[in-house]
Amino acid sequence: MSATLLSRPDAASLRTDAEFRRITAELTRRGFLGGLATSAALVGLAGCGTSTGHGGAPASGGPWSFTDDRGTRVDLPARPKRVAFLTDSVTAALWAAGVRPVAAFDSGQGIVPAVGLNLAADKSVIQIGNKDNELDTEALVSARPDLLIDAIQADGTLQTLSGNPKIKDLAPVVGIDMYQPVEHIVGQADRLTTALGATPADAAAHRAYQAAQAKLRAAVAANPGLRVGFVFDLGPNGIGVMNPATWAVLKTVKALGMKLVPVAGGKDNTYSQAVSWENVTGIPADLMVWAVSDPLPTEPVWKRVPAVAAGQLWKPDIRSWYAYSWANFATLLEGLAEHVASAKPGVGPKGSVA
Amino acid sequence: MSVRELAPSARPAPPPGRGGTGPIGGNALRAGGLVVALGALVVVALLSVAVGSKGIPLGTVVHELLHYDGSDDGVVIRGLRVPRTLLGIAVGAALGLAGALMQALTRNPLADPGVLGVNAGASAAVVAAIELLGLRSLSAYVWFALAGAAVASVLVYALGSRGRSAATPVRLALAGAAISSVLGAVVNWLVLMDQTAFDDFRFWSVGALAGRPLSVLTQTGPFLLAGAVLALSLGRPLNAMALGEDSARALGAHTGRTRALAVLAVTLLCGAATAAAGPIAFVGLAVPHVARTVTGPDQRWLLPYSAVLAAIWLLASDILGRIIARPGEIEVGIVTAFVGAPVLIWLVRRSRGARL
Amino acid sequence: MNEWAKGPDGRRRAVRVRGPRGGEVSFLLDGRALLVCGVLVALTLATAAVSLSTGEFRIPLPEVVRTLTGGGTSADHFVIDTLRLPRLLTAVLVGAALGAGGAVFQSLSRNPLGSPDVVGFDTGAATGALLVILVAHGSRAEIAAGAAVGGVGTALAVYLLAMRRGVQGARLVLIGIAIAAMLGSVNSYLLSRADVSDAQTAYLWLIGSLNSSDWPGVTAIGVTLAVLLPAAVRLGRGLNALEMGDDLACALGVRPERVRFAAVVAGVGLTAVATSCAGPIAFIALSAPQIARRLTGVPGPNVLPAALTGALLLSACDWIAQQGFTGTQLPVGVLTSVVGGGYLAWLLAREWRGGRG
Repeated sequence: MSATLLSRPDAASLRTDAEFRRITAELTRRGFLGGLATSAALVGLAGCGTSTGHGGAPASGGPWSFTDDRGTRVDLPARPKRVAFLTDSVTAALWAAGVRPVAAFDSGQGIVPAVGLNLAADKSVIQIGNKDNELDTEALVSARPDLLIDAIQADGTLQTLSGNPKIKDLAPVVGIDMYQPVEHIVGQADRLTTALGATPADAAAHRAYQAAQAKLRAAVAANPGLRVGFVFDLGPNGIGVMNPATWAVLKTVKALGMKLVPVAGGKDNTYSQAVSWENVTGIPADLMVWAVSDPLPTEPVWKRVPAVAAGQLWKPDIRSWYAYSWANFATLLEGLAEHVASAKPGVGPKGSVA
Repeated sequence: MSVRELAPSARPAPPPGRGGTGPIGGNALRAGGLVVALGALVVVALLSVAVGSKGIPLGTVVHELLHYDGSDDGVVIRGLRVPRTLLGIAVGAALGLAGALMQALTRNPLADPGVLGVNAGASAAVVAAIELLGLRSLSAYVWFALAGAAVASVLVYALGSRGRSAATPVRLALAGAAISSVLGAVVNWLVLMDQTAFDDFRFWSVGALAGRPLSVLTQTGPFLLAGAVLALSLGRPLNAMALGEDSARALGAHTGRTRALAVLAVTLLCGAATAAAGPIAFVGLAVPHVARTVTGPDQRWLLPYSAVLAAIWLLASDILGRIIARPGEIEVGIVTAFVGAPVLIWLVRRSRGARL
Repeated sequence: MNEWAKGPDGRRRAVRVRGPRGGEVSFLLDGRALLVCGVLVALTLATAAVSLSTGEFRIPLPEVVRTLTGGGTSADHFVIDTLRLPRLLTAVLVGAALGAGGAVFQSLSRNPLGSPDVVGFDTGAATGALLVILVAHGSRAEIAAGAAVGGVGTALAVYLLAMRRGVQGARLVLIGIAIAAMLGSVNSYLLSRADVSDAQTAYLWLIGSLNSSDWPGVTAIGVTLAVLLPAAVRLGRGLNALEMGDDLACALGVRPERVRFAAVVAGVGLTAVATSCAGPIAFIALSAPQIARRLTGVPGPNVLPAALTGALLLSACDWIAQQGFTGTQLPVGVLTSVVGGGYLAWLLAREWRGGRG
């Protein structure tokens, strides 16, 4: 086999669910700016990093500028009023933060509704996403946007722009890096919201998030030996173990001290490690998190996985995992904290998956 | 289905050696060869139980086979490896038989069972099941795949055989191309509209033996068995037909009936195999070529040889797929062509060409 | 200089055209073929007018004309100049290239299903494109280059592998199938291991889509056609003679090996650039020559009518694919598969009714 030719031999977002799937696009391209710690992200948040926006000033009228996660600075003669969101995650994160667009992307994967936005019913916003996950360029033109907001991929390119280079002539583009811990993604959304003259909508949710974060950090500290595996269904092929070096969610919890099941290849093996049914009982996890909304496997071997047999399995409602908002992640970290607190360490086998 | 596989050829298969003048020569030798091949199949089947993506010592394997103790290794061997080995033998034999039949039927050495639209029909039905009915389990796909394969091949046969003259090989190939094209478009349309369906479909569409419960084999077994019996009984009339329509009729063969029965057998075999394991290409096309180098063109020998050799090929590919990507696996549908294509190329380059 | 003479049946006339190197090229034209070509051009122009003036962003036809001649708003210009015009031109030119390439290959293989795919072209092009899309994450131009390199490289490898004291037809085809099966496995592997959104992008390419047509693509296919289409038309007479067998062709003064080689180069070149622009769009190469042959009633490859038929078919199919379905822009390859498959089925059924089956 020519497996060595491929950069992502076991990369598998296989059989993942709608929410999960769409986000894969935004989160799991090649490589990663690995190991960027929460603290570093928070520094960026505080404005010492790349932010040069005339952000906080709600007064409009003068020229407007904003420097995005790529370090690209957008300059406009006035603050933009007609904003278009080009991906599902951008739509969800900025809608939750309080920006009201003229056009928005929803490919129908369930991410956008997870922040309470129903584009089919909301006639004030032009839907520019197609069911086949393609941009409807003419609909975007008809919305006459003066600012486009896209997701930045791991290699630094823009997700929608890279497939539709023509639209760069329509309006300037701001990118939000979706390969960062949650604090950074939502923080950038809040900063952009302020820069666009709105008030970040979820200040209360931000406080709830911080409380949940503290709770999870405490739970992890109290149960230091616990190894957690975030897994998903590969159908007849087995299951996949998510790569801690890739996913925003995993990077977020890892920064709080959680011990995650490592996968072979580290950050080079972008998405996950595929594990055949013969080997699932050998995954060294004490707590399993079923990170898709697919039903749990019916394969008899699954019930013999030590963590599953011990009842240390959490199948959360993950609809909101990839709609980055303080509220959604407060719920997520809250639930994780409970399961970490009640799980016993040392249940799973020793060793590593690979 | 690509047009490439459907290129009709006016060149008839070489006439069967009457009384047996194959490369080995003599029925006793051929029978002996078949016994050897069956022996090889048993060895590969045992290997398939002993070797997998999880390393289990041979002693444990034997112990668990004889005295099941409910351990993890026992579940792996009895619950995973034994079923997929049985499935591999059944599916492989079916694909080999279907391929040999198809090449005899169309008198085209390049035909594979996909010509009848079986894969396209099965795929369209499975996608419809995923997309329109929301079904997501392998055992639910089985009935849809079977029904889709049957409907597609009936359509192809009807379109290919309308009129006074019965289905000619070229008309069958053209009808297959037409129906496959339309069904393929339906599949593409449905999966592009829904990422969930696309994701499920792209895994189903790579044929695999892994993760199939034993119930898949019991669901498809009767169809596979009926198809195999029917196929093996057609050796003699197919030999007659290889001489050409008129000679066959002069020899008293019912060409129309033989053709219809052969299409039925291919549909049963290939439809059930696709339903059980997903589409697996190339085995049905290539194995009869390998078998022909041993048996010559006599269908009475070519059919059983194709069945046994295809089962060996499929199982060996499956074993390889389990050990090259540990701790994961590579599906057998991907490995077969990769292992098989060099063999076929070597055979083709070695042969003097006339035998194609 | 052109010199007109009465054809064998009194209706057809052989047109003698002095070739660029002083050699004489002659081919058959007749009134009906000319009429057919004229009608095809007119219909393609009508399709173009409709395509440019319809879409989600409304621009009436007079505005389209004004925009094309320099007037109009900047939004009109963006929609026409950047979105619709390159897409329309790509459809027309790719359709023409596929039609002409198909005509050459069908004539060459004396087989209505003949295509460069016999030597693994499409599968190799797909492997090249998938590697660029899924592994290297390349740009559009890189995808096109990957497809062309993959297709031509595969065809060459198959040809070389089949060479053993000359190339035999059956050996060539069988090795083509084996290599295509192997590359097909690579393609399946790449698709099944990739991230689902990447895989969907790649799948769109595999079906054939004009969604990302751009001006560099138009230039590439335009230059290719300008060079290879006249060459293919000029090969028409030689191919026509070859259809009657090598011996007869020699007697007519045609050198079979040279014509065959030139035809393969022209056919592969046209198909390669068309495929790299828009992906392997199904059935245009297959059905356009068949339709053209029936429309003109002239035997032989009918390269020019096939090219015009291909242009009309693809541009019309693409308009329907864009406008005919709400909520999605269907990739044109889906529609051409249905149209082509349906056409073939109709042909089979009709030939039976005509008692010719």
